[in-house]
Amino acid sequence: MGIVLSAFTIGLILAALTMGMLISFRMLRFTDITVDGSFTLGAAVAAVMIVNGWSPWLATLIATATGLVAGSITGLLYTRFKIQMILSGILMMTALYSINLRIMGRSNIPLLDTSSVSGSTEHIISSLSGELNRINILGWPVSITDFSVFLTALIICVLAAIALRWFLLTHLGTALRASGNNPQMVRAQGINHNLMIVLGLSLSNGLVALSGALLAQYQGFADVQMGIGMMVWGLASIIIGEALTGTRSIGLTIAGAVLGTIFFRLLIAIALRWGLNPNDLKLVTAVFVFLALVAPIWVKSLRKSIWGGLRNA
Amino acid sequence: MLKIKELCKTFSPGTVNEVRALRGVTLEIQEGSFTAVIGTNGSGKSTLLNAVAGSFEADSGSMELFGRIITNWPEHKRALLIGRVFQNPFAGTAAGMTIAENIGMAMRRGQRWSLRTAITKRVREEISDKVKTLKMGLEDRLDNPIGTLSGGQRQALTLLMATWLKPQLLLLDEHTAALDPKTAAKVAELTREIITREKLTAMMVTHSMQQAVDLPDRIIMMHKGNIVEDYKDEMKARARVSDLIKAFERVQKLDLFDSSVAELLEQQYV
Amino acid sequence: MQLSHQKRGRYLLVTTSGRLDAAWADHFSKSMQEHIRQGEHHLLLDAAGMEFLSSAGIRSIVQLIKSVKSVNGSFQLVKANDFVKQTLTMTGFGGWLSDDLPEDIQELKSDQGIEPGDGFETFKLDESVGLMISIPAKWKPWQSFREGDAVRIRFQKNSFALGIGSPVQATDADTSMMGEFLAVAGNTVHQPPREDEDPDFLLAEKEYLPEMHCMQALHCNGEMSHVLRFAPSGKKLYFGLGEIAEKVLTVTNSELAAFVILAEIDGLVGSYIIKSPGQIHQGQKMEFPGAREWLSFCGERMYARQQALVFGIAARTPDDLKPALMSASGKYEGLFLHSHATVFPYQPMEAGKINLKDATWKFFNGSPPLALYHLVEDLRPLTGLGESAFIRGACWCAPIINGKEDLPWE
Repeated sequence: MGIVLSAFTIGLILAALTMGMLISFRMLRFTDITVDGSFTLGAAVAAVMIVNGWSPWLATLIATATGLVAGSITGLLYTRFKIQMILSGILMMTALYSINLRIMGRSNIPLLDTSSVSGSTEHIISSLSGELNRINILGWPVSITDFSVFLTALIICVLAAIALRWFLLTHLGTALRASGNNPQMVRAQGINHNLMIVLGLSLSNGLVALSGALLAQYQGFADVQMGIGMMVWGLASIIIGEALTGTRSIGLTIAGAVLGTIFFRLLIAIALRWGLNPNDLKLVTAVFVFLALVAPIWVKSLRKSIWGGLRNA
Repeated sequence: MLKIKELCKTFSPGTVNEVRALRGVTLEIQEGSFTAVIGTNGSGKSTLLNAVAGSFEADSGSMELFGRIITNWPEHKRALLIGRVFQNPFAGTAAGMTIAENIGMAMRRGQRWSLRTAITKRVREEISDKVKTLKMGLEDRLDNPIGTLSGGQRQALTLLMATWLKPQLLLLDEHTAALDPKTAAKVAELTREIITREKLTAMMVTHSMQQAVDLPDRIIMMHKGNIVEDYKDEMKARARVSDLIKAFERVQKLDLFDSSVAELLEQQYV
Repeated sequence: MQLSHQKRGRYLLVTTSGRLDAAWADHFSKSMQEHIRQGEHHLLLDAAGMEFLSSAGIRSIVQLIKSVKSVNGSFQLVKANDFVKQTLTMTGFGGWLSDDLPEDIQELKSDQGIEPGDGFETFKLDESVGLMISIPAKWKPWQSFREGDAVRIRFQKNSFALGIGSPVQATDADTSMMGEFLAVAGNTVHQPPREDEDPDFLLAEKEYLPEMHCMQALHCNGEMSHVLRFAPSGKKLYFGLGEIAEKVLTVTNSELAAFVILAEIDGLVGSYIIKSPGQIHQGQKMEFPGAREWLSFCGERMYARQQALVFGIAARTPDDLKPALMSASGKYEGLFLHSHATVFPYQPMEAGKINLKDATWKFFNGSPPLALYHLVEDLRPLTGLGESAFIRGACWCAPIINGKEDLPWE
């Protein structure tokens, strides 16, 4: 049960990352590599602040804000300075690597014996359960600490999902989605297409940084390397999510992103349990994304050749 | 009223692909007039429309729309005053979004993009009522992605969107060219209907001479980045398709009249 | 419906099978009109295979008969079955029917299409007659022009002329409307000096005789002595203007002759004035690009398959005669030409020795002319359009019989 719960918890935490990438990758159709840097940025800012005694909630909030800034800079590189899409992201990601090291002062900050956002939840639960340190969930004993982290992640994730859905259905959100869909049309409707890209990338990276800040608190350290490959993980989660719920409505798409992330974490947990070398994890993920991207084309051509063969016969 | 003065635009200047698309176009469009812009291929007719819409910055010249100098306005700012329908039915709508969401955006053209829910019940009803007037049965499909509609349906909706808030200027860029003949006729009729009903000031690029004669009240013919013919008032009333075709032949004939022809005529024309 | 045809002597026997109804009437009309265009004026319709004839079919036959009659041809519907016969008889068109082929029909000619000769057939009208030429207005491009230089000319019914002028108006001579004109048997077609205007025309009807204010005019009076007919034969598919002019000089056995061509066009090459030269007050040099303001050039071979009415003057180059208003042909050595052509919508023409006034009247009386050109020969390398050419038609001609010392040019 411990593994399952931790997979769920990490899944919920990373769901913020996936939701963020949903904005850039799916709504704006912007392949944004900034993610790898802003994820670490969130973790670094939160860790440094918490170590220095700031409130974990405030630290998480500030970390999110730094993500918003990072994303908007990528957006400006692309819109104002007309730098190619991928290159804007790469520039920002590379810059963030040094910035993150500067913020942390070293490559790793442990968060031992510090408070985290789940602290207050833990406090409430333990007072409710009468100072036990284990409670029973579906017949499994679970440590109160783990459970409260899970619960906190769940609450934050659900709130973020609801807020995101609400936002995307507002006038501004509609304009933002249309910007990725058809820039020409958006401009013809009097919408500043460039502003929408900056705004979208900003929100996207804000969510990514939030995710980083939460993960640092959950795993108990911030590492300058922790963002590497996050973009591909997010991508894999989005793809799985789309397979699970489809994209018929905004609500379903967001739900899919969350479920996809959790499902993906479960798969990884199972794979690791079966003895997958953790070092191979990123390769496996990359291969998975590759397959998910090309499989539909293969299936189509395969179907065609089968049908074509039948017709010729 | 639209006033264009000495508008010039050269694409890829100084390269082998240099195209002098607009060579000092001067034009005045009166309020409430419907002008067709026709021209040979590459004559600059679409470029003129795009220049007015702000798709690119003009090299020189000025544009004034109802007293406001819009020459340096970005495209999205001009869109507050200008409604547009494109040649490509895919260009005017966001394919992945629903009919309601697309129209919802058009309903707020030029207003602030607030954090209120875009498609409320009241908005839906308003959209449904107006979409009904198209008589295409689309009012029952408001939540379908617009990409699932046919080109003609999308073009009709784009037209509806472009004119939802009465624009000071409506730009139609060969908006029926990509449609099959029957649908094209239907969209053309819808265009005429809306423009007449709303008393819009409109410019329409078209390659259909028939359309140019039937729909608008003024015809401008462009060739090589210049306006070469301008039929208005009685001249427009008199103009037939054959006159336009003759005018085309004239400008093409003029192109063929080079220095070797001048030399030939000097010897032969006695 | 299927159509096939074979040439049988002077007749063209067209065999039909299937239904002649609304669906096929247009196709039938078109193919029959094409036969007439190609000079087949005696049509026999073998209706043995015709299953059905509707009113639309009958209407297309009525039209066909109208065309055939207009060129003095004939039409018969032979071997019709009872149904078709009954339909035609009851609708009052029984007159078309005939049970047998006409007696003068010949057996299938095996060597059809390959006729010897140059494609010309010459008919003498009256070898003793000819034309007297005068040049009452002598403006030469692009000299300066004074209003007083314009001459008022009234064209008689035996007048043939070409030049530059404007129709006489109520007000004084207006020099802003000078454009090319031609007059054939008094009937005058003139092109206003505007690029977007079609030519207008004045007909010599009853008491009325057209009058023009001319700044340039080559004016002939008299009768034509010969008529030439030409039609494609063998590999010869068209007739160049210069080639016809050469033939005219040969046939009239003269060094100076005038001619009228009425023919289906293969392509016209020419130009016309688009700004009245009446407004040139100082000598003008026609250089590029200024020339484009004054002249319109056709740019491509124009008006294929329409009908041209040409009036021209052809000359050899005798040493003592320097035609100031004639241009030398580059293609035909020793040929000088000045010719104007007007274009009418196509109508078929009668075969044989036809009368100039009747044949041209049919066109003057029909749809208005489409264009008027001063014909030129374009021998520019690569881009040249060549000379004007015609497919089939008639050419009336006569020698110019002024005495040598009597010729109007210096």
